[in-house]
Amino acid sequence: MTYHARTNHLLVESIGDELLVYDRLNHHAHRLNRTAALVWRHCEGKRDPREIAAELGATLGCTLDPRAVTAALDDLAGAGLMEQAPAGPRVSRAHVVRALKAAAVGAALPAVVTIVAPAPAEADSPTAQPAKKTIDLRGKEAFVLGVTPATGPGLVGGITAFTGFPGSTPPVLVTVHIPPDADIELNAENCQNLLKMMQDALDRMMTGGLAASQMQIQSQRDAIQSVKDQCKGVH
Amino acid sequence: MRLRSFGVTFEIVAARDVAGALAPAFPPHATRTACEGRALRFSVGLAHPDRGRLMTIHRGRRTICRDAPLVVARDILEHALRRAIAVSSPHHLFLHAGVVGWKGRAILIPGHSFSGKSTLVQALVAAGATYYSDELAPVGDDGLVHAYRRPIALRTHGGAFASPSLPAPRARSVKPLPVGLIVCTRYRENAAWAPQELSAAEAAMELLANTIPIRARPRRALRLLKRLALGAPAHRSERGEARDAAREILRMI
Repeated sequence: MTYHARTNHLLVESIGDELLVYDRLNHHAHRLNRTAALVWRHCEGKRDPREIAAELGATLGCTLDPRAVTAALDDLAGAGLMEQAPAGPRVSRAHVVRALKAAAVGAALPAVVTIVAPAPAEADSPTAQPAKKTIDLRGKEAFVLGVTPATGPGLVGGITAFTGFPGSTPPVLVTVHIPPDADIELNAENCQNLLKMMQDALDRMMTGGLAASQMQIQSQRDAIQSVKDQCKGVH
Repeated sequence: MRLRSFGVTFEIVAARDVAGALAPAFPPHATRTACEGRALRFSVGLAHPDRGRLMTIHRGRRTICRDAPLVVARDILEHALRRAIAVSSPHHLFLHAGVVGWKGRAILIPGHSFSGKSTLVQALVAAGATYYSDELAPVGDDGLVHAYRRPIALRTHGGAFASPSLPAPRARSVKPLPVGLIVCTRYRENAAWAPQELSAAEAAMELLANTIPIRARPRRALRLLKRLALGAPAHRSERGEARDAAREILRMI
């Protein structure tokens, strides 16, 4: 059987002796190490794995086991870089590694590493984190910092928790704003209450869909009163 | 008012006092412009003037924030503007990365949120490096890295920002630098600094994973990422304390 490398909708950059391949159909990016790159380049529909191995062996100046080529073809097909998947059973990578080590083969094993290219919301802070992870009790130290009249872009004298939903734009922002002169003692228990309140709001937003994407605290006064109410009985 | 930053023009429609209150959300280095061309339009209005300063923000016809207190509205606007620049800039490729300058070269620290970029950038600056960005690395078509100098914001795992401990550098400008080192790292408690050199293709993949407009402009991005990856050594390591890692990183260039 002969093999055809896929070429349509692919952007290919050779970087050193490796290849970076970007698939415009599914936005996957693949890194092919030298051996995998050579195998892929030789898949022109004219040779079988044994012939490819022989030709690459001559190029690399070493013996290349045809099983390594078959393993590379499996990897390349799995990455969607071949026109069709290799026929027959998949080659066990561990088996190939053992065999090649035993044969003391000089060429590096083929390797294809794939990532999914980030959508803008994923590559951009702070939406890369799943929603549930961003509300976390470890954040409570931020409450102490929150009452400092800071000048950062994310927080000015308040308490802010970001969260992102897949595909949501912009990230949902759950905020309780407490001015520095607020008559509230920010101890650990109050922080726990605040966090619970914010988590409850987040849960309501998640169950209610993305349309209600922001906890609407009507005013700073209401927010503070809300916190005070939450904190009743704590002291 | 019309603002321009990294080749992207914004039109901010808001009452004068509201615009003034939102000014900290505007991108660093944004300049006022009178150009008439296409602009991304953001309109900010007071949602319920009788109930205090709750703001509603629209981008074009789409509502991106409704009934938000000033601090929330400012955060959302800042994020929306930053994101619009990163996606739309015609002459710069925006990477999600921290950047400092050192010995005439840029040290690029690509990484997602919560990887500890800002903390490391802060430590590098404390060790003598020049602050360029804790969040975005705008790379020009010439391969030079520009500054995106908002005040450093340290975010906790709770999602909140700690107050910056460095003065806001908004007013100072720094010149674009060629990349001298790419450092792929993330914080792990008590981790030892043990850098492993990456191949150029590995480095390019690390950068690609943090390239904001990669899906929109993959051809241009690949070309530029290749240039960056071939032009500078790249290392990967977990790190423990930022101060220790910063010292080691500065020795590498």
